[in-house]
Amino acid sequence: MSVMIILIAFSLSIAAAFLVAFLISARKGQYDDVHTPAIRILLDEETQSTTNV
Amino acid sequence: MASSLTSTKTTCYHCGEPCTGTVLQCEEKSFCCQGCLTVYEILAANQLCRYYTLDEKPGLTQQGTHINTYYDFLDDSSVQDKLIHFREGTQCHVKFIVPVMHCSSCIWLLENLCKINPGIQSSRVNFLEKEVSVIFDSAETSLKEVVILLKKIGYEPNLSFEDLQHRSDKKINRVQIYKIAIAGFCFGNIMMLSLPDYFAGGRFLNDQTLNLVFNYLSLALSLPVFFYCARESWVSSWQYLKQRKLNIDQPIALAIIIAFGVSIWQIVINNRMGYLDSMSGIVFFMLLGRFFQNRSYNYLSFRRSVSSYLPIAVNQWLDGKEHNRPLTDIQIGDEILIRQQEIVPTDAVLMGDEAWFDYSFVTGESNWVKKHPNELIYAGAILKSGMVHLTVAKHPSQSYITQLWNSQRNTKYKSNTLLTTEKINLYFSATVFLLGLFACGYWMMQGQVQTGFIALITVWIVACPCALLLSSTFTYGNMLTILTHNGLYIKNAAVLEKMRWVDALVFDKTGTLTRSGESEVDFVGRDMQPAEWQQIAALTRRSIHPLSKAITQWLSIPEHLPVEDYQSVDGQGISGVVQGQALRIGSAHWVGAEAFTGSRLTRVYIKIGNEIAGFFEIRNQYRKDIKSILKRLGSKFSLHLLSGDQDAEKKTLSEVFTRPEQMRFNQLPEDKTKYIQELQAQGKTVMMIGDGLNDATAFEQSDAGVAIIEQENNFLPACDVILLAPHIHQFNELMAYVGKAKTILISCFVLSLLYNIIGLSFAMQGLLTPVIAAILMPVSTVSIVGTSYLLSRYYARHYKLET
Repeated sequence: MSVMIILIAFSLSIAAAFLVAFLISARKGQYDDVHTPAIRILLDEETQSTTNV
Repeated sequence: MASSLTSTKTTCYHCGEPCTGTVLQCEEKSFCCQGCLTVYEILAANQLCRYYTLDEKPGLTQQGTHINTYYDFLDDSSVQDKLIHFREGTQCHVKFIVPVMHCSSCIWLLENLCKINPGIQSSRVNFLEKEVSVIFDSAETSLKEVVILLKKIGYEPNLSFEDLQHRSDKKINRVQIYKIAIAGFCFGNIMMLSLPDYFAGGRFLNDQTLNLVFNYLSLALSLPVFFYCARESWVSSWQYLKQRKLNIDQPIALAIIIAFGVSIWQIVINNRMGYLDSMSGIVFFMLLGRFFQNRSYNYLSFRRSVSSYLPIAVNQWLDGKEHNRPLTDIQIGDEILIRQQEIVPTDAVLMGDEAWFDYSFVTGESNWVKKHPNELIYAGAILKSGMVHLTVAKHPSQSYITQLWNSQRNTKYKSNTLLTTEKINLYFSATVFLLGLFACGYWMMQGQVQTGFIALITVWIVACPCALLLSSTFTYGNMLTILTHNGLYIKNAAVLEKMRWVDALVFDKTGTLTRSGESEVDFVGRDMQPAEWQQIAALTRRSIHPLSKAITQWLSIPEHLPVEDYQSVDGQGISGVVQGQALRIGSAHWVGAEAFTGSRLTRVYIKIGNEIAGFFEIRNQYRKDIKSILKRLGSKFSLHLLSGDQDAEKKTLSEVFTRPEQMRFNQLPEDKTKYIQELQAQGKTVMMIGDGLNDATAFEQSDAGVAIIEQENNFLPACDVILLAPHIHQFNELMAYVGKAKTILISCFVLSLLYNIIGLSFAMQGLLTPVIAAILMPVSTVSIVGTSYLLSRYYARHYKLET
């Protein structure tokens, strides 16, 4: 049954990695504005070339 | 009469509003005004006409906007330093608040500014914050040019005195998201580790080491929940405890502490799983509930200070020259220049000639006021006649309007009172506390000390008031969202609850019952020829006075006749020659008619040649169906009217406000506040409905202050509730819906009580195992959240509200 301990440790570390990834993305401001990107994605086909200065 | 004249029914290509009066043509498209046409021309010249295809009617009318706003102050380096928040070489980063943005076309255009001005390197929009972040190269363009570009395409940024005082880089509160994420992670994993314990009471795992690892791992996972995620609860319960007061966090904090303490005891001494899953569940759901309730409508800020209304800079007159100065630098005794349509930024003394001011924002009086030399002009007045010189009498931070704004502050703690649901929660907690003790005592008397102890602890854990807390947070959260869809924005749940008790409605007149900027016109006089109407329209079209505009709009004559010898005298009238016919339009004195004092309505006389042909009678235009709305409201609430205007409209209004003491005219802001105080002294809960800054103190005094605004981007006074003017016809239904909050809450309470009774009956017998607690917790939470969601939607549909 001690294999369980390894598995638990494994699953916990994966979950923790996702948690950390989430926290980092939130910290970088990815969740500050959840509205505009949703609209922007529908608009940007021709703007791409010019906004990348 | 005008009704016999043909009226054109074209709509403006830019703003989609019906064109009244002159229609401008360009490339087979019609425009309602020069402003709209200009915007179109700029966009067309830069191949940005996709703007018009992305969303329906994206443009906003440019009628009434003034091109003559001066932006020279943006060349002043001290102003620039305060606006530009980051500078690297010639690259400048600046953020503008653009209140008028409202659709996907706006986003598209604002993010394509670089196509119009190559000096702009990039522009990004945050739609909910109504914010545009612009990066521009100061070697190629300037801050002033960027602002003028925004203004030209119809997206004037909001530059205010407030920005100068403290450019607040608003930090978005991300901590709440962190806490939810961590609590969710810990909750999920503890649940997983507790699984063996749910079945066969932990005997499922025969392996002692494994058992030990599971238990201590859960304990480790619960530490961040206990010490980090639940922190707010500790802090706020401790603060209230120190003041010997009760608040909603205390029962929750108690439940968490007990669950945590018992679990440690179980794990360390008995080597058995505790209630850590339930504990982290409580914290997780609590945080989630609060997140939904606090999800603020951040594009509507409820607490804006008066300084956001004042301009950012003024023109100082020094040594015979004009200098741009930030408003913060202005001292008493300085001489300043104010042009037509500009706002007087601080209390100042008028020099030189007499002038006309629009005082509607300060006093609520909608007619213009004439001021003589050496008279004091209050800040907030808008100059309507030509340029004047003023001597500053008070520092901007000391002016009358700022005092008015600040006078009522901090006298009322609207949000600090406990909600009814919170009070119920406290009683509930006390009952549970006693029940636990009772069960414990009962088992002790039976001689079963162990069972008694378990009963005591499990009663306290299972009856966590969290279900009750959730029902109110989710119900209010749902209702606030639905009300938002229907144009009613409420500051917080405490205000929503207060609104249920309202029994008196106090209305302001100008801008609330009437529509600002629109009037009803009647003509009294001899029969007129169509040609004569055209001549009159030609003349009135030349003037920007609101009365002339009202007449022009009422006549709605498309043809443009040339006017010769045009003359305009402020406060008197206009004159000119059209098709060889001399015309004079204006006051009785202006045309040489006998002044008539019988009627209080505004009259505009017309003189054709030497004959006085008649006069226009102009009264305020009431909002559509306002009478029927008020009559319906009158059956449930007592209605009152406080107006800053003269009592010209008393007769019309007395149909609705039946008792004369319910109507008061010539009210100063102080009088309004006093009147509300009187009503409150009679034991009434008062809702004040108004529009302007002059209502700010009345809003503060009332139990719920409702501001009616034409568009979301208007200046918002300090208020508790914002109602968008197009939704005013629903006001009755919205109030009824708010009243239903009680029904929904009671249903949820009954449901959560049922769960509690089941849980408690197990617990009091000492039979509550962790598995029962673990099942009861989520099931009760989900069903309560579901009930509140379904009921709030059901009632919204019942009142024909949008969901």
